[in-house]
Amino acid sequence: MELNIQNILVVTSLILAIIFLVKKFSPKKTKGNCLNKDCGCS
Amino acid sequence: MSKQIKVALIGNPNTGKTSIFNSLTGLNQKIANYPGVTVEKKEGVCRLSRGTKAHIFDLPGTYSLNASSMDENLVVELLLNKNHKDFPDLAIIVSDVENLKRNLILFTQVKDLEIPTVLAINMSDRMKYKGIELNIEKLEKELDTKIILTTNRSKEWVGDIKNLIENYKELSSKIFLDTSIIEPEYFNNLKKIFPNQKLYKLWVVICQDVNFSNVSRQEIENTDFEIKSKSQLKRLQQKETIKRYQLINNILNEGQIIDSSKAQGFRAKIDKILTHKIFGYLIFLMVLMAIFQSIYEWASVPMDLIDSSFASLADWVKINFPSGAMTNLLADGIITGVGGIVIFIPQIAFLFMFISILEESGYMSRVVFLTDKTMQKFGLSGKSVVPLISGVACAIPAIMATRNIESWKERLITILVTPFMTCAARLPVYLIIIALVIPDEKIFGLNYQAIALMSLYIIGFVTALLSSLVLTKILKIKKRSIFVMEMPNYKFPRIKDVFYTVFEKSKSFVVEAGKIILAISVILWVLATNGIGDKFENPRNYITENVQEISQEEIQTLEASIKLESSFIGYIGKGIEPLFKPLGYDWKIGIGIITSFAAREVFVGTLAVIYNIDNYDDSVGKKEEIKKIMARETDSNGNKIFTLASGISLLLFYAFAMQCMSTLAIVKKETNSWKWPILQFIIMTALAYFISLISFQILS
Repeated sequence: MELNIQNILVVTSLILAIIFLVKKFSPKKTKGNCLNKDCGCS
Repeated sequence: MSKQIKVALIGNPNTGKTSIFNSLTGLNQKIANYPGVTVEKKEGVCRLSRGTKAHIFDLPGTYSLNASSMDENLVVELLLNKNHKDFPDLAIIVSDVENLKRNLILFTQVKDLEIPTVLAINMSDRMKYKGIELNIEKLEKELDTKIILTTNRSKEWVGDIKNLIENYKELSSKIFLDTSIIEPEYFNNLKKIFPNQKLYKLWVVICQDVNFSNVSRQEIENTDFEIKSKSQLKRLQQKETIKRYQLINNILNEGQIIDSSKAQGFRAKIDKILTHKIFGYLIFLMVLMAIFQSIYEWASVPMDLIDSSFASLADWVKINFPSGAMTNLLADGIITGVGGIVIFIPQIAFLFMFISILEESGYMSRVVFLTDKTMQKFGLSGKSVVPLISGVACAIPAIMATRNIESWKERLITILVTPFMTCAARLPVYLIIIALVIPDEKIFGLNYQAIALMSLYIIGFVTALLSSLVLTKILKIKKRSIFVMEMPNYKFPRIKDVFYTVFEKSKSFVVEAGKIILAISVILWVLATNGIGDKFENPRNYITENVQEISQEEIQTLEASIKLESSFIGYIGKGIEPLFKPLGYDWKIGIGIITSFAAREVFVGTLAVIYNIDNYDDSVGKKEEIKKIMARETDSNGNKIFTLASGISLLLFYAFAMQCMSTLAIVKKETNSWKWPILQFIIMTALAYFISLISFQILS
């Protein structure tokens, strides 16, 4: 692959796209939604 | 900096809070989730005079401050915590003119938290039909508040509410009921221990284990104060409710006159027909058929316009931008990929419009009532109907809507089966495949394609019910629940509210899906236009060495095809092809299926990118719809890829497979365990594979 501005932009777009998808679908820490003993969470 | 007033819109469900919210904020609204939980948070800005702004919060519907669900708990949490960033300066309690007595319970409770409060009596235009007369002056005096009569039919009240918001400091924040009269000894003791705290707040904290400002239930427990057992607390809560009703009754006896002879009539007659066990279902089916028919008929014009606009845009970019990899990525990857999803906005918007009209008119509640008995037979709660119907739009809010199902077993089953309902994300996939394999002809005035689409919706619903039946037998969890539902009045849907719903839902669908599609399109384009080996670098050499007697035009097409097959994506696709071959799919569809495990609608964008790259003839490829390119796709033996057998197999795969990461994340969140989403994913995908396999083998 030649080193020119268009190719650099493509590689940058690719890296950004991968970072976005990894961030989007990586598990996040969340607060439980339990209200009572019957909620199944415990 | 201009002054900002925080206003909470609070009310029972179905009182028209959202209409008031829309009237005050217009399009200046944003929808997000409350931090850490998945309850929808609606916030909007209302501009007042002299540069003042009011931040309006449309809180989840609640019947009282004795929270029994997650939604109600959030309202209580906000109203008790003065340090909360959204703690309101003013609370507007929205009530329904026909259920004023019950609605006033919540009003008096909020007032006892000593927050300046305004009472908005909504749907006031119905008073004359229902024989209701209100003595506003008397009610304002007795309830120690300001009352605004609101209606969807006019806008005169908006200015009055804005005035009250602006002058909220002049409103009374005196309590309605002296909490200590519920049980003097108990509450006086509490008051002695916490002399600086508001008594009603302490009482709500004791009842609900909710923290507020600097006192928590734990702190109360650490003192000498004896909180009482749960059953004793329940009895005190009942005493409180009785006291409130006594006071409210006395006030309404003087401030409200109801002519009961006018209260019934039209509504009862319509209800009888719409909830009839035969006619009710027939009408419901006819309504569904009319919806699907119009989705096809009405959406074609704007779809064609969007299609040609994206094709022209891609052409324009190629002509006017400097040639190179980035320009190609923009034209063939990004614009084509995003265009592949934007084209479906009209159909999705029509679907949301109809759902919104059905909800607004009050018909949806009749459908819930009508289907309740059937739901019970399948081991679901009557309340499961709401998540299942909402699942037609999106499984994520639908799964969140299961929170009001009290029984854990019924809630879990509803969560597990809701993704079978045909969500809006499946719609683009269905539409493109149906257009390819189902003839565009009519029988008895009904379009075959519309019938096919409706059948897929029915398949989703029936599978959800059958799965519930199986799960009820398998899951060994005890259950007990009662179905209680309020029938809202019939009303003409307000065009503005329908518009806001369509706008918000379509926007969030396109923005959320669009971001993922954009990212995947970039990755796919790079994988499809890069590769290794001599076959990829010099496809022409390979052709001239291996193929004889071929025209220049054929060389060009073959060259493009060889290049794609020997690109990175070609290798990946060929690698997974044996898995999908028995279902009738080639490696390109296989790639579409793999990428759509992120979100179903990605399938269309993926195919748009793959087929567009494969098609080097600008005069045909860019200007033709993607489905036309797909229709002429053949395998190495010249057999068509998209036949009735492979099309039906693909439709069934999408009907049953669990292809939505966000839904899996919500299921994990709601069940607080990875066990359920993992099981759901494995079972649904395996079911999809085997049903598609059987259908393809039979039909081919």
